[in-house]
Amino acid sequence: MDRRLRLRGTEDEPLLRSLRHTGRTFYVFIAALLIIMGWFLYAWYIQLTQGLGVSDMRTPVGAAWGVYIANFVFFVGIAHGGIALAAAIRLLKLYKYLPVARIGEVLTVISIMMAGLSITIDMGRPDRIFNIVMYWPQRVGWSSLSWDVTVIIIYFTLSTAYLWLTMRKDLVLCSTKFPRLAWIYKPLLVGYRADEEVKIERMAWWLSIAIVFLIVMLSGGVVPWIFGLLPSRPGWFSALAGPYFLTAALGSAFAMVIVIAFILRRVYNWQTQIGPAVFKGLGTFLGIITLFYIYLILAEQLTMNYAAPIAELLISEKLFTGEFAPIFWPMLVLGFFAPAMMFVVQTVRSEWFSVNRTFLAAIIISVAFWIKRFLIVVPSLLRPLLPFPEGTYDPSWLEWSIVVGVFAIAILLYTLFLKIFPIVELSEE
Amino acid sequence: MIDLLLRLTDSSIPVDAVAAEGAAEFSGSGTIGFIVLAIIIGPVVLLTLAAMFGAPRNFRIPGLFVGSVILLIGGLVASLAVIGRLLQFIVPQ
Repeated sequence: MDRRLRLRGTEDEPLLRSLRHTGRTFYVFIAALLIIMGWFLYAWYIQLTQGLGVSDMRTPVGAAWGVYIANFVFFVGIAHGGIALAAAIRLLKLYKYLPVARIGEVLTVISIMMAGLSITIDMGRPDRIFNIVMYWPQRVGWSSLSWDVTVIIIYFTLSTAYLWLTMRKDLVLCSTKFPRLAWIYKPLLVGYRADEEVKIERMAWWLSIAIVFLIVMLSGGVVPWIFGLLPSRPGWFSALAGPYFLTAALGSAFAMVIVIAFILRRVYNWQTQIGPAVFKGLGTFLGIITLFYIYLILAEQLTMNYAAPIAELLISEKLFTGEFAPIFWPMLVLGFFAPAMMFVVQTVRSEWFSVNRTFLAAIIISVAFWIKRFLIVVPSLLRPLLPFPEGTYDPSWLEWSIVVGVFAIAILLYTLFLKIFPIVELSEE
Repeated sequence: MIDLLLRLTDSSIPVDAVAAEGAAEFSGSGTIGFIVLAIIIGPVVLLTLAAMFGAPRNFRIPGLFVGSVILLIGGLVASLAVIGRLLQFIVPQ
């Protein structure tokens, strides 16, 4: 707790830089994001009015799911690891990482929203989206998609409530320092009393356990079961799907937390507040988890090569030597193995540690994890279950525009949060 | 289920009727989802109750927490309805 009090007691003003200073670069950055978002809306409008035929997703010949579902799995993944870090800090008293706790919490909330948006975009008739609620009682008995919606809504609710509760004390300080934003802070401070911190800390501790449990059950449960419970789909029907997805979720989220923490550190001169030790610890964990993920890829591919149904072998061949090999091997070697080894080396030899290299490796791993989601979704769908010819999938400009647009919206929301709320816990002053 | 599949291969039986029967049989028989959700939601509910009613006793913060949860879930459901309604103006009906 000492570290926590020290952080709170002495480093208040620098941590408000994100709210206080708004330069010209910020407005240019926001304008660029808005332009991308406008392009995204244009692309989605075309898809809404002309149907999913404008994408390259096809059925039964081709892939019925593509980059939108890869995006969904990616965002669900980073949503889990972000708050997992915050929960671990609270449960294991890892106060060294406290400066990045809220970075992870906000990442979680925004990523879940983007996951929901990605699914909506993938729907053929998104105007019927309310049917998810209307027909929930009939579907929930057997549909893994219904379980997914249920658990994601619970997870989103708990994560947002957790973020709100743990942020209330800082909002009191913000409302005095930034009266122009008081209209936002005051509703969030409803019923506030100065002595509530003790109860909130205890509640947050219990909720951390609930959230960690939900992460395992969501990223290691209902999301992989969307794929893993389809018995006749080669490459997906696997008991390994749960641990596989969970590991990827934690890896990609920790990579994203490193990336965001590095950018904030650089932009707001938080070299003291988010010290090198934070990056070193996160990097070590990311290295271990990425190596473990490589082991899971190996275990999966080996089993597929010995599986009785030949379709499993054919999917594996698509990755090893087929049309996806030019993506698969660079992803495995350059995207996962090389950065993971870099983390291992800088853990063993402290003098080789570099914050910049940690950031670079985290970006590479993030991209590799997105590619891996694509390689989970698409190759399995290209092989038809009935005697149709084998299809291809080459995402259209429209699909790429939408994917980039979703990322732009996520960055925009994160940036707006930064300008309104403190992203690192403040002092008690 | 095997019987249904065999009947689907029989060209003398109208496929629509068999498919409808199959769908009804399948959707009516599912209970595993309730077990899965009970396994997931049960511990979460218990832990949340522990968070609310555990020491130190204070009913104001748990009240606010429950209020925020209800607001968020209600807001999500309402936003799904609004989004669906708005999209009806864009998607050709």
